[in-house]
Amino acid sequence: MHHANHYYGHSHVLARYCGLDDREPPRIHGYLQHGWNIGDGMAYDHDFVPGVPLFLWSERTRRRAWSLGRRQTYVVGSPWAYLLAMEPEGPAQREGTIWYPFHGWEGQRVVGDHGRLIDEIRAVEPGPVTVCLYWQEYRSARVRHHYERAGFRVVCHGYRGGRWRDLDPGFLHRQLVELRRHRRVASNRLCSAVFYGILAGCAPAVYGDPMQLSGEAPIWGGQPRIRRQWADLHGPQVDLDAARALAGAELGADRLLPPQELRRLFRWPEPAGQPPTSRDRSGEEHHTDEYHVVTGGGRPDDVTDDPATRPAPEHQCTEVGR
Amino acid sequence: MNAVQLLGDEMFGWSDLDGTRGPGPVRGPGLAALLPVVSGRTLVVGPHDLDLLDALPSADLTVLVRGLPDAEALAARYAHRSGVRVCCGGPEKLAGTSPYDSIVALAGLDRLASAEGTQLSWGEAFDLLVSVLRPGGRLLLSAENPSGLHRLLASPLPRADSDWAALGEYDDTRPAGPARLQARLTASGLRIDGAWAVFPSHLAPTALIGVELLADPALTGFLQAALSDQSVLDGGGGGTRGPAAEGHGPVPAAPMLADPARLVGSAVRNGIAVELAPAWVLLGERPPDLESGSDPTHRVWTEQAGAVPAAILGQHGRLRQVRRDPAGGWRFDDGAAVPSGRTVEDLVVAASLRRDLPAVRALLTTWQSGAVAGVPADAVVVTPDGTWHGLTEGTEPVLRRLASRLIDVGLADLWPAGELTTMLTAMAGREPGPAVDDGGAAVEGWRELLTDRERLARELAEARALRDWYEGALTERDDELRRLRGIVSLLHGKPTVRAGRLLLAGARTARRTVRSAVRRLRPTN
Repeated sequence: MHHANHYYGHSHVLARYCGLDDREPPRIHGYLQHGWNIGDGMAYDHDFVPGVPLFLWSERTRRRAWSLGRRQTYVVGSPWAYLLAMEPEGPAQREGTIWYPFHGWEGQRVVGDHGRLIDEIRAVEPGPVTVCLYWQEYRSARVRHHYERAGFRVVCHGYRGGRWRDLDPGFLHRQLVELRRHRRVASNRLCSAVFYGILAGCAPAVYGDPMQLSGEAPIWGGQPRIRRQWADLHGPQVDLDAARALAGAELGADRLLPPQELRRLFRWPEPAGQPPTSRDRSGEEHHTDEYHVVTGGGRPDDVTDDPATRPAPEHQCTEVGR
Repeated sequence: MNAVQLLGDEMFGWSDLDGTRGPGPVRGPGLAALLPVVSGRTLVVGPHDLDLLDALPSADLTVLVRGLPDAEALAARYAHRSGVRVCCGGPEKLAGTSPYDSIVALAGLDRLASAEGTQLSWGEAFDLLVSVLRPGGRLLLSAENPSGLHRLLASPLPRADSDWAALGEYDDTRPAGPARLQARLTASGLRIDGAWAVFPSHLAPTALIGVELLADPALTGFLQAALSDQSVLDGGGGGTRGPAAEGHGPVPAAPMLADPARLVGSAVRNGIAVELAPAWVLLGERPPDLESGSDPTHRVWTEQAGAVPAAILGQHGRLRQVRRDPAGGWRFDDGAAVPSGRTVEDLVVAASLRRDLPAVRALLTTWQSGAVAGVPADAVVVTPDGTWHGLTEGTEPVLRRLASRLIDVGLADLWPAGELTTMLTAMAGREPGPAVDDGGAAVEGWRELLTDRERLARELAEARALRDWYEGALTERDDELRRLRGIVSLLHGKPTVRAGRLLLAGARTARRTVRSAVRRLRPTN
């Protein structure tokens, strides 16, 4: 129904969970929350038709949405939590930190000092650091090389998807594999990626210059509110038990629905049988995606960093999950 | 300006005080009259109207609200009062804070939790408040009655934005009924120093009646008159307060299922007014911990008889308090005794049901010839010694109002339809004057509308039947008249003229007979 339902391959993950063909996920009859936020769960700049169901990640978000006048709100949990439920972790081979610098979305620019952020990362992180950039920043040779020159491994999970075009069903799978390679997940702003990392077994940290979007107007209290409300998740070292409890609640890991309930809620059909899957997601083939190539010391990318320029499918390189 | 102390879980962009997303703050001068029992270091939790906060006598005041805009507005309002702290966030953040001498929770415990934080049950919120009440401290607590009159009579309303997880009566930690509520306080170590049933709504009560006073059967008439007074009922404002309805004026409410005055009168008559009250307010005191040497001298109020009001009534813009008279009975704060006895209306209804018309006539005559002739019968109390007390201001026409209320209780057939007011007027010894419409139900509740509809339908059917009967009788009389006029016409005039008319009439009759026979004999197509 809404193109944002397909961001990051969310609808694909849920279709697979529901036993349906995830190559062509059915239409979700409602709006699916596609990122963690401190409002009603929906993107503030999207239009929503009253009366259409909202499928939210957490009970807290549902309560908040109700208080903001939203009705027909249903907690289904996050697609990330479903993915983890389908992809149990094997033997742990974790090392270092995956770091998600705050990014803008399409059409937005981040104003901040990457150099100072790199110094802070070096001062805090004891092991090797992987920096995951949003596709816009990743395509900016200037930004990418900034981190590469610091000796960090630079990756990008892919492009989150456009308006029913250039969808990337493997986005979350790549992010999961990457997170499970690291002991820590960190960012300069609390975001979906940090919660994802916690749920994937990483120790979280939120520190450093939170940077600003060009012309950023704080919504629902903005960063001051986030830092105050989720203070337990901020700092170079945070209490892991508290972090896990918070992440589980925010991602609705305690609220996952059985497939048959989820199908009814989305008005999806019953599975005809075991549908073919697009590929085996447990293997490493996703990591051969060009956006997971370690770029430290590589040649500068000639892709423009114009945020208005959507990448061609073969150059998908977005990180979202925030 | 005092800075807002952010406790965590504060709701950004949410206001309980402006009434746009929920029922608005608890309010009203009736509640303010209870606040003198508050003293010392005071905590106020939940949405309280600014006038209530202003009326708190404490110099050391902490106000906890969940909405950030409310907290900021309060901080600005009390910027120049150094003893006022405004906190914002979820109530669970209070745990472990230094205890208070007084805690005020007149908005109840249902609107403390933030959407951002833990959703405390009633019992958890109550235990939390008791945990921060110092020995010797007092808790002024309101608890809405899920089976109160305001709920029983309310039309279905959409759920408010504040009902994101409202358990209401399904919260099994909520004490069910006034007795269990008091027991819950007692079990938590509190001594009950006052208990009031509030009417007509938990949000803006205009009448707070102590449970002892409410249980006094001698006061049935007074209580019925007080609680069914229109100025008391109109001030309740149980509905959502819109942004345009500011201040303390009457609040437009949704149509009710029945006249609340009739039901509250019945509840008083049947001794269940406490159980059906929209809410209860309790004053609990945590006994001083003498072993720890806590100092109870901060108490302003002491347990002297009559120290707390037995009732607070806001009628016609005037606040009256009732206290127990040490010599027996109850007195208003101006010294007047609260009259015992029944209302004139109750007495008239009872006599009418017995068809004791001489008694009805005597009551009406005495009422209408006395000083309270302009006061409605439901607001006049007749004491056992025969004195008459008007308990509200005079209104006219009181006999028409009485007729209307008799119809409400099913006495429409006491006299012929449409004659009730006229008959009551005549029985009261007054000139009936032109006939007036009895008016049907006095209040446009759904029950009264149905009663009115049935009465009007019956009256209409009866009127149609009467019309049909008149129609038949008129036709019959017309036919008879026509026949008699014919005879008169034939017999009128001189003998030769009468003979000629008879001959002509006979000839016409014969011609009609022949034509008729020929038409019958002719073959038809």
